[in-house]
Order: sequence, then structure tokens, then C-alpha cells
Amino acid sequence: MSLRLESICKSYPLPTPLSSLLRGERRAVQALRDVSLGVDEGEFFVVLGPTGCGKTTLLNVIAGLTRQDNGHVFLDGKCIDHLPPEKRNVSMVFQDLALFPHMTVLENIIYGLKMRGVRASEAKKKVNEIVMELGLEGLEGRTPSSLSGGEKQRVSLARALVMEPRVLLLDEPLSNLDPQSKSSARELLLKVHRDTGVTMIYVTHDQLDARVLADRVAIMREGTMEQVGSLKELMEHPRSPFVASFMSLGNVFSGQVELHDGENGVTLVNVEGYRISIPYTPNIQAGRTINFLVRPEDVILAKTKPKTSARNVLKATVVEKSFQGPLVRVSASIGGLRIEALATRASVEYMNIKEGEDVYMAFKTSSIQVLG
Amino acid sequence: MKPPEKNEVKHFRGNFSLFPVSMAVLGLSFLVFMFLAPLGTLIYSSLNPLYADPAVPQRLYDFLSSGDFEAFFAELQVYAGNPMPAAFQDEVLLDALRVSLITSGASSIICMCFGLPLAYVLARCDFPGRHMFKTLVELPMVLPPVVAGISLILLLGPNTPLGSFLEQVGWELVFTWRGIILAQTFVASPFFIRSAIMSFEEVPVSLELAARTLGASPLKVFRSVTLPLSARGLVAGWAMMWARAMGEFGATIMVSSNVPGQSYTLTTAIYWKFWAGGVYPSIAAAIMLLAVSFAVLLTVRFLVER
Repeated sequence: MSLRLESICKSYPLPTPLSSLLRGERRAVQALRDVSLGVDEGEFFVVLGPTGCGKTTLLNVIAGLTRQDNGHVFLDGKCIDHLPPEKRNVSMVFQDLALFPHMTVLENIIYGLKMRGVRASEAKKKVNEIVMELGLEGLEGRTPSSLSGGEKQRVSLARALVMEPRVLLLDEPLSNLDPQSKSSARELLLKVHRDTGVTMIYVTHDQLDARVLADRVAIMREGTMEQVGSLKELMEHPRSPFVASFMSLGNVFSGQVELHDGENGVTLVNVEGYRISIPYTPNIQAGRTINFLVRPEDVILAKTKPKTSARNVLKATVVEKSFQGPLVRVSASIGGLRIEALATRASVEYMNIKEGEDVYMAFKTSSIQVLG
Repeated sequence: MKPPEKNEVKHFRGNFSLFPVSMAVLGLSFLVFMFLAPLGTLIYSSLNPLYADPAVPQRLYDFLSSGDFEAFFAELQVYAGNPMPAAFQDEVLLDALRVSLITSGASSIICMCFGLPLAYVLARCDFPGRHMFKTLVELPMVLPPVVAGISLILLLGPNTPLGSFLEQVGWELVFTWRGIILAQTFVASPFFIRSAIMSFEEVPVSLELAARTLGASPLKVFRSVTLPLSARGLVAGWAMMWARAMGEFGATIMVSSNVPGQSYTLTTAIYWKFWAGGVYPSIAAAIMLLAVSFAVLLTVRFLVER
């Protein structure tokens, strides 16, 4: 294991009114609450979470730019809590890329080697290698302000990589790129990861980044790790409604358990007044609130009431049709309930599904995943 | 469609608008009446003594009417040949210029050594009372310099605890040239510190953090990232500070002993000359001050723009 975090806590003080200070109260925001994490050597680890969930603080703690209140950071088995950032050999690509505007591209890339006291000839050689690797030939003499977004991003990556760090931290490095440069930048990151084998921790709020890049994903929410696992695990077994909705897995419903019959193996849930049959789940009582996931690809669409073994059939009004490649995402609402279904373009056309018209939406009990 | 070429861009004449014209009229008239007119008159009067001394025609007339032709011609001779070049060679004035340059130079060096760290701390560190300290630092800019003089005399004057101790050690501050340096530093350093705080705050913190992760120690980060990126503002603020110290009068006159050649600055020279002999004798000192300050500001502007 290359990097290990052990119950890291970090809070930031908030401006506190004098009256509260006198009473001994201090306002603070808890950015990290007891975060423990292990990242393997050479792994591409993506931390996914909404803005303000503590992702950047996590990276700052690893880089040594922020000191944690509690817990320890281990790199290659050694505790590095006491090391300042310049002695950790952990490089970081910042969200704003943080290129030095008063230096040329070459000076930016060679900066770290100079600071480390690497001999000029050796530094030059390393910089040349990285410049070739990232396709920055010909830009060496330019200043950062004259570069395009993608070029800046590559220079920032080169500057971090030339240090041959033990861990490379990336703080939403693609957030300022247009979609096309984004996808080529992702490819480049994968290539760099393959070629150098460097351990990467990549922080983002874009689940697409996680889907494309990650070996393992951590979903973060309000300073805690909601779920950590491979992409497959997260997609197939989301542990909470937050994970399911953040990974855009589909319809997340929440309702009260109405009937819980162990003998017949039936559990009925009341969602906004509609009864939905979910797979029998042990250890729950009637009256409890339960969340479950219905994936849009499991919802069957029909214009007339379908003859199906699916127990759940709802008649809803189509509110939106959106094209997603070869598929169409149909959202329909019934009462306060909104259900999304995925269908092929051909079948939507064949059934002549239009916005404002009623459709039947059916899904099998067995296709429902209980999220707890 | 072909994108427009550079020289195809419409010029001012093409779309006449009242707004830029009125802005130009207002701005230029301010420049002319507030700055050019008084300073121009100062320079003109150094070239034409009769303008500066309105008593001269009256005196000449008196001499004529009283029949004292000898005095009349002597007076005429003095003013016909401009006495200004001679005034510039006045020993007292040259000494005052020297004292002014040395004291303002010293206070700007002191300000650089201590004001720069202060500005950095106020810009970068978050601690309770930070905003109050930032305001405190700016206070001397709006405070009458006379108040600064009083405060310094109260702190370091001969009959105060600190002052008498310094006197025993032989390091009197007030009423010596050291007092002038102190007064100038007090009054002028906010110009540098304020500008330095703003320049430091303009350097994105992420650049400093990036440099840290790239193996630079805090000192190296300051030298290689923070300082070069804030250099413009620092130099500009430093020049303003220096010029302000050079022109400092109110506090200086209170804490200096006004011994020519020792604690007699150009500004106090203007004042004493004015009291001793009216406007005319002080013109030379005023011109000297104007020329030196303008030259320094112009040089700094040139350096900074480049």
C-alpha cells in the first residue's frame, strides 16, 4: 500500500461573533470527519463528491499544505505528518493549474528540479523527456498566458510529473476545459498513468471522470467517505441513495414500508401514495423509511397496459424526452413521483411516445435494489 | 465571413460620441488648472523674478521718485540678470538637499527592511485583529503630520523616560537628524506598506502552494514566486514612499533642530526662507525639490512600465 490515511479529521474556524467567543463557543466547519483510506501503489484513485465535500482539503492534507487536527498520513509505511510539503515528494496539479506567470513553460517545468538542487544537465534531460511525453515540443519558450487551456493543463501536469513523485494529486484539473479537450486530456492522463505507473489521486465532481479513469473510486460526502470500491462495485451495489444518485444510476425512491410479510416474502413500500413491491428485505419493520433504486434500463415502457409479470405498473405522464446516443431517456411523472426509463430510439418512435401523453411504466420487483 | 483585420477597426472619428469628449475636457482641465498651472508658475517665476516679487516694481518706482538712481540701477541689475542660478549654489540649500536625500533614503531603507515583512504578514496571515492592524498602518496617511511630530516628541522627547535614557546613551533621536528619519518613516511608510499589502494579496496563494509542493522552502517560495510577481507594486509603493519622505514637512519641522547642514531639510528650508524673505527666496528650494521628486517618480514609472 503506497498511501494510507488513518482517521483524518480537519475543521476550519469560521468567523465567530465576539459574543459567542466570550461564551467559549467557536464556530467551525468540519471539512474531514474521520477519513481512513488506503491507496495502492500505482493505482488511479478517484475521489468523487460534490463541491464543498472536503475533497480539496483531503488533497491538501496529503500534500502537507494543511495540517490535520487528528489522524495520520502514511507514505510507504512511514508516517509523514511532520514533513513539510517540500519534503514529501508528493506533487499536485491545482484546480487553477497554478502556473507561474512570470516564467516560461520551460522554467515552470524545471522549477521543482532546480529547487531540489538537481544538476542542470540532468534536469534538462528529464524536462526534455517529459516535454516529449506530453507533446509540449515547441512551447518551451512561451509564457503560460499565451497557452490554450489544454496546453496549460499539460504544462501543469509536466511540472508535477518531472519531480517523479511518489503520489500525484490532481485537484479537478479538467474543470476549466471544454468537453473536447476534456476527453483528450482524460486519454492523456490514462496514458501517463500507464507509462509512469505513478500513484494518482484524482479529485473531481464529474462522475464521467471517475467512469473513464478510475481503478477505484471513493464517493465523498460532507467530509466522510460514503463508499469506496471499484467502479463495478459502486455501479452494481451502491450503498446509499447518495451514491446511487451521484453516480446517476437511476431512479432513487424513498418511502415507508407498509407491509412486511416474511412468510410470503413480500415487502410493500408506500412512495408518495403509490404502492411499490420491492424484494423481500430481512430485518426491517413496517413504518420504517427505506430507499431503493430502480435503474432506468430496467423500466419497461408501453402505450397500453402491458401484459407482464412485473408487479409494479404505473401510469404516468411523459414530461421530457432526451436523446442520449442510441437511447432515449423518457421521464414521466405521476403525482409527486418522477420515473425515468431508457428505451431505444426505434421503440420510442414505434410506440409514438410524446411529451404530455400517458404511458405505462413497469418494473420487476427483482430489478429493484434496496439501498437501506 | 472574413474576420476584420486590425486596421479595419473603426477609429474615434468614425463614431463621434459626446462622452469621451466631455471626459477628456473635464480631465484635461483638471490637469491644467490643478497641477500644471501652479507648478508651471513656480518654474516660470524662477525664470522671471519680477513675477515672483511684486514689491519690485513698487521699489523701483520709489527709488525713481525719490531720485535715488544708484539704488534704482542696483535693483534693476539684480533682477535683469537672473539671480536664480546663484540661489542654486547657496551652501545652505545644497546642505539641505544633502540632508533630505540622506534622511529620505534612510527612512526608505528602514521601511523596506521592516515594512515589507509587516505587509507580508498582514497580507498572508489570518489572525484576530488583522483588519484593525491594516487600518492602523494606514492611519498616518490621513493623520496631520503635526500629530506625528507631537507623538514622537511625547515618546522620545528630552524629558520623557525613553528620551532621557537615549540621551544618556548619547543617542538622542528627537531634535537631531535621526529624528527627521523617524518622522519621515512614520509619515511616509504607509504609502509603501499599503501598496505592498495589495501587491502581495494579488499573488494567488495557489502559486505559493504549488511552489511548496515542488520542493521550495518558504524562503525560496518568497524569493522565486511572491517577490517577482509583486515587484511592480513594491517598486511603485517604494517610490511613492520615498517621494513622500522627501517632501515631508509637518512632522520634520517639529522634531528637527533646524541646524543648517545637520537637520535642515529642503522642505524646512523652503519654510524658513519664506519666513525670512517672502516667496522669492524660497523658489530655488522649491524648484530643487520639484526636480528631484519628479525625476525619481518618472524613473520609477519608466522601470515599472517596462
